[in-house]
Amino acid sequence: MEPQQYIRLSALNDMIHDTISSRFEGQRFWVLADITNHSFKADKKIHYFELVEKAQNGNAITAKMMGKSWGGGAVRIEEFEKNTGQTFTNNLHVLVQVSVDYHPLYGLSVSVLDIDSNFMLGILEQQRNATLERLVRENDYILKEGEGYSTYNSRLQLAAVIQRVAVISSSSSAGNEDFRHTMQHNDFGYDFQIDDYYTVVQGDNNAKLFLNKLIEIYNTGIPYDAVVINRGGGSQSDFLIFDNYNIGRAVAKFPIPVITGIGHQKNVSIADLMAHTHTKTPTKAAEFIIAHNRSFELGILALQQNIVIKSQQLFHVHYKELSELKNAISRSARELIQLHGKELIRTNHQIISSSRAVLYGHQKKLMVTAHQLAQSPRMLFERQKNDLGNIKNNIKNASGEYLRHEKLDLEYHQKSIQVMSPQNILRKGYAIVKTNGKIISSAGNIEAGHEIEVIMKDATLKSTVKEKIQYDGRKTNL
Amino acid sequence: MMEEKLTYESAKSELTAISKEIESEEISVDQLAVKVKRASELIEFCQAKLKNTEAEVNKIISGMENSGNQ
Repeated sequence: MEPQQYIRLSALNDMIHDTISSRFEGQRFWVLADITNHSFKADKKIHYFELVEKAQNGNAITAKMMGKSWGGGAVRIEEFEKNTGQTFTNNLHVLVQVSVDYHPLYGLSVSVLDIDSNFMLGILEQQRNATLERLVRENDYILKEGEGYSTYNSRLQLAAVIQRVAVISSSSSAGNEDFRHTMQHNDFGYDFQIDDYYTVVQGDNNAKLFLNKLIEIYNTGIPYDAVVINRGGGSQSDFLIFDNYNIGRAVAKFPIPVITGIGHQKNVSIADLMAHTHTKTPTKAAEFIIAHNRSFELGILALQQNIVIKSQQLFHVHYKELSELKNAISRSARELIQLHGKELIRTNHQIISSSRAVLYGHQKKLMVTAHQLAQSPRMLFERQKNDLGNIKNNIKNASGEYLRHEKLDLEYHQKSIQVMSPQNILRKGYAIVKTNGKIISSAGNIEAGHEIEVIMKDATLKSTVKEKIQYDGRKTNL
Repeated sequence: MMEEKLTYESAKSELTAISKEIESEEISVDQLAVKVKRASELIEFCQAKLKNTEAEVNKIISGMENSGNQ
């Protein structure tokens, strides 16, 4: 058998190389693909990876190609990372410009010469929006409000003064140093307690570490006034950790106000949107805290100023009030004294004039009395004289009358006596009988034989009683 | 003379009462001197109290300002 014709493998590969070169030499293609198996040789700045295409439905790989990038391509990748904040790494869906190479030793591969940042940005934006929508949809403490978001964390009230601060950052972060420096050298002499919690703050796959730090802060039980998330702006690549759903969610419901100082020039990260306050850099985060404290101090100073002014005003009012009272009291006391003085004078006058009046009245009465007194004796005399005259007349009249009356009476009695005189009676025929010298009117003691005298008008008859005849009660029958 | 319980407010209201009493001539002359003497004591008390308080407040305020300017 004739020996087989053969060529060396290198000759074959050279043929393949020539064929491919003649077909693809100098040509560039924009290719849509996913990155896998990525590695980066930092010293030589060479990216190694595979480009794959997955089936529309599912993850089955339908195409695959080795890829690398160095030199100008690596520079473009670096720019891409800066522009998009996205690390060039596995599972990235990218639009890359490639050239096709064949190397006898390394085989077929593509070299990435350029990468489309805008395409990436579009994808990132879509992802970001999707994450935001999901955050709102799945968590009732996250609400969309206009362009911004209201979260449990953003609704927390910041302490009046922020003093205890927990800081999440990477240990090597220059931005974190800026933060610490700004905080510690503030113009107002505010003291801060700043506790560092170091973690890796880049790479979506480090989200778990970041979350653990947040939990660690919570578990310390230290009553932090704020948690600050710092990342310097030095390396402008890979901020996508801050667009991570779980980190956004954790920040949104974290019970201590979160202040972000994530240095990036691109649009705001989801962590920023979920936080209480977001600032553009760690330094600005520090300035925000200092300004917050300053506004509290200014408020206090304003109160102090107000107290100074108000207390001075108050003192002024009281001094004025007091001096008005003082004046009023001394004035009205003087007035009162004057008033009483006047009243006293008036009373004095009244007493003088009324006592004069009383005196005058008495004097007048006295004069009248004296006058009357002077008048009355004469009248008395007159009256007495009259009375006396009257009495005299009366007496004169009465005595004459009396005498006359008495004379008449006497004459009457004289006549009566003359009529009843014994001579007269004897003349009328009557006689007087005597016994033993005594006149008798009854014959009781006279008995027959007794001596009696019978006196008559012209003679006395001495006789002896012969007989006594009793009249038996009958009248003398003359 | 000043009772321990006397406060600025009570002193002032007493002063006001005395002032009104005198002004409305409700007061007797017998009482007048006593009342005016009392009033002058009260005024002295109030002024002293005000001055002391003002001095104290100014001291506190200057203390506040000094500590604020550190």
